[in-house]
Amino acid sequence: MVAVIRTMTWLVLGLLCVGGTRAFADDVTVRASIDPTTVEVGGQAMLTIEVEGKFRRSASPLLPPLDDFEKYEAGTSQNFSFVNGQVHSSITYNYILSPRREGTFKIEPIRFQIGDKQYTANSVELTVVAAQPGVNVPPSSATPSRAPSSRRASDLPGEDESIFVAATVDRDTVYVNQQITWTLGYYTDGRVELLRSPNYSPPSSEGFWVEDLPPQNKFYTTLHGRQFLVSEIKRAYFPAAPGTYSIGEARVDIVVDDLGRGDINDFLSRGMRGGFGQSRTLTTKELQVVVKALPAAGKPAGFAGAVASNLAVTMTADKQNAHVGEPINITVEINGTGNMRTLSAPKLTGIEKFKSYESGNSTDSFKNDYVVSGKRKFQYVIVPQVEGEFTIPPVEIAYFDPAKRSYRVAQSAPAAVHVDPGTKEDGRKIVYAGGGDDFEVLNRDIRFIHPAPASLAMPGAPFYQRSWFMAAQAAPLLLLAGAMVVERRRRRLREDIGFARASRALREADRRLVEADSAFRAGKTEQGFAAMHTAVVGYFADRANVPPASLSSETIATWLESKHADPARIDTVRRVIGACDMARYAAATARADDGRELAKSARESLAAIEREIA
Amino acid sequence: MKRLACTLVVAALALGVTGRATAADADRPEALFAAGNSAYEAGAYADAIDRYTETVRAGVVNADLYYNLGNAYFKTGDLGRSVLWYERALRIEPRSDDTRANLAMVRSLLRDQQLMPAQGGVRNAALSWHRRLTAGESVLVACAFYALFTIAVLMLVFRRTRFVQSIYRVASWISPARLFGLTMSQDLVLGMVITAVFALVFAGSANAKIRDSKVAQRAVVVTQEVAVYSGPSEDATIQFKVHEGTVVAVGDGRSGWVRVDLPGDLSGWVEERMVERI
Repeated sequence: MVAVIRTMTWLVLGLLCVGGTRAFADDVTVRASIDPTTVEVGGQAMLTIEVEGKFRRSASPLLPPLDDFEKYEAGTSQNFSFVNGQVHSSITYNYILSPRREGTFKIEPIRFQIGDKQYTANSVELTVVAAQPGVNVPPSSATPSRAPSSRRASDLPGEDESIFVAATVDRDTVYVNQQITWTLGYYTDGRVELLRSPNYSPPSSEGFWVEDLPPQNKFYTTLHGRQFLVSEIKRAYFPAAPGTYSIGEARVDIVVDDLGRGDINDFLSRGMRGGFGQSRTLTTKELQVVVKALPAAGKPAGFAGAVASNLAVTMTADKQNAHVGEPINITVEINGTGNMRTLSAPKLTGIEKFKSYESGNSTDSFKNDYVVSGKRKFQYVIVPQVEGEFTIPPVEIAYFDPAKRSYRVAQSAPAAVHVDPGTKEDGRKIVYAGGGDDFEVLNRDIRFIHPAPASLAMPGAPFYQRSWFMAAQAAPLLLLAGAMVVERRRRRLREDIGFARASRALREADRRLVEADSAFRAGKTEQGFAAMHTAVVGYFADRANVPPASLSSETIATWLESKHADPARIDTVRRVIGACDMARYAAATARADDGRELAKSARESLAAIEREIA
Repeated sequence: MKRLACTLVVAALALGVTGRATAADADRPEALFAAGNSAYEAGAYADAIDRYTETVRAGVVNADLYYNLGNAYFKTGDLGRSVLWYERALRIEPRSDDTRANLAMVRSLLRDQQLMPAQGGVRNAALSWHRRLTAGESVLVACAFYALFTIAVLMLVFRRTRFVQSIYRVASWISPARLFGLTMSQDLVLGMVITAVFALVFAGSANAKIRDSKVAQRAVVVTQEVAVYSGPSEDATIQFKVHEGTVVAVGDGRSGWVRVDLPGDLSGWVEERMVERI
């Protein structure tokens, strides 16, 4: 039996675990893909990580070590929808990978942390082939392929340096949220052999929104009469607030062969010293940037801090004809140059006859020629409430164009919508919110209305607030109180013989007087008087709790007088007892009619005495 | 000619009477209710709301009416008022499957999912009976236990009488006390305690419902988004925002503001016009 219970317990636990795992796995799915799957050294492949599922808070992927690649963030897009009350989110993270060497690389599974749970994507494989000559890295040549970028800050070394780094910015005075292109140049003249790939640590970016700018640029340049191979890494910095800010030091850790190459003796002596290279850290100088506030003059109404150039706004509706209650998807797309992620959602105006919901947004970033631009997409669901012809007014975005140093307003074209009266079918298509491709029409609907009753009673006071109900609540209490009284009397009757005799005295007397009356009617005069005597004397014996034989008419009269009984009643009692005695001793003189009269008088007198002495 | 004139007069009077009767009929709550249903079935949900609302204004308190009004608001996308009228319908008919199903569906579409009443749990299971009874039903159940308590006391008082003993002999077959070998007196005392406890519990439930029916203790957010401030003023800090359809517990009021409490020890003040008491 114990074994059976144990087995069942494990079975139940096992089923719970399986069910739990299934539910857990169904919640979120993570997928990774790479495109293209074959790329040249120095080329670019897009690593895409898609996360879908029922979660509310976004999280960032935990990428495995990618030592053989330059990695750049290339934008994130997000959509969410409400389906059956559940939040369904979809986030796509894009990274550009630029391989440093040939080979086949397996990018290990990418992990994703959401809340307390960790999810894992599939691994992806990338084949890297040798670069075609002249594509990315120019062949060794005495002439530089391209001049370095304009230099605002420089930390060029002395003439003897064979390897060094230098950081520059394209401009040191900008407006808030205007792009600053920071460039790290890694210079080497080929006289120093690196034993390991350089390890680059970017500078601090406090106060800035930062975007990596792929691809890495390589070219030759001549400094101090020597030819240097320059590898440039660029980043875009967008300052968040006015003031003077610093872009910190960047660091490149390298391991160099400090003894030259080719000599076996050197190699041995190097091994005997216990080392095969010298670690060095190359650092750039900290760069100062002055960030100006946006001008107050000419600031348009509705300006929400957007800083960009060449903004273009479009607004599209997924349908031009709809019924009342039928959702319409509106997409507002904003294209331009600048940090498009910071654009806030424009407000749809003139849609008072619609219910409106924001259903998602996404951003696609482009980094052509090291200039950040992008496409910001906002999605809305509007649900018409009434029929008619409607025109959704143009969406306007006020922005500051740093290139032109002035405020501008971009606006879309209006969107026209024709709304027909609602139908039952449309009523079933109630949707709260959806997002882009994830928009779903629910098939569930509320249950139908109830029919109108033949008559509608006006509400009165509920029964529990009526006076009769309040009064009825006292009934059980009264009943209990009565029961207590009755029980107390019953107990006294059981325990107090005097009380019991007194309580039944009149009833017994009545019973005997009835017997006496019956005897008189039957002509049994002597028997009738005897019964009457027993009734009257017995009554007083019971009342006084004494034996009947101990009472005479005089003792009864004395007892009654002590009880302050009516004298007339006392006389009647005496007369009755006397008549009974007379009849017992001179039976021949007794008459039945007299007996009946006396019995009647006795009943009345005893009842009256009972009332008086009770 | 005279006969024709009489006929016309009679016909005119008849038409007048009929016209007045028709107008009067149309204003009857039953007719308004039926007109609301017709508008709803035709897809004119805004009209249906108008008809139903007129019926409510006429003083009708009816669960079906409130349910239909909740449906009509749902169809127009006004989820807040839909929740409001379903909740009001449930106060009259707490066991209505239709209302519960529709309310559950509307709730699944609301934004503040984390503020929805928790499902399951021991406490919910223990209080489910309370939610499924009207105030009147709770009163009746409390009265029934009160009556049983009274009977138990009477039987205890008169336990020595043959009548009570004969009743007990029959009734004791359903008493679990027999399993524990209790005497008649002990059994009756146990019965008194149990019935008294149940009577008090249901009386408490009834009291809570009656108090709630006099001054609503809960309200529904009926605007799309409401800022909850730390104090009864727009100068106070906005602590968080709640959205339409969220049910809040309402407390004290102060010059157009009302204090609200939400699950998770969330509390603050909102403008009273943003919420409607259930």
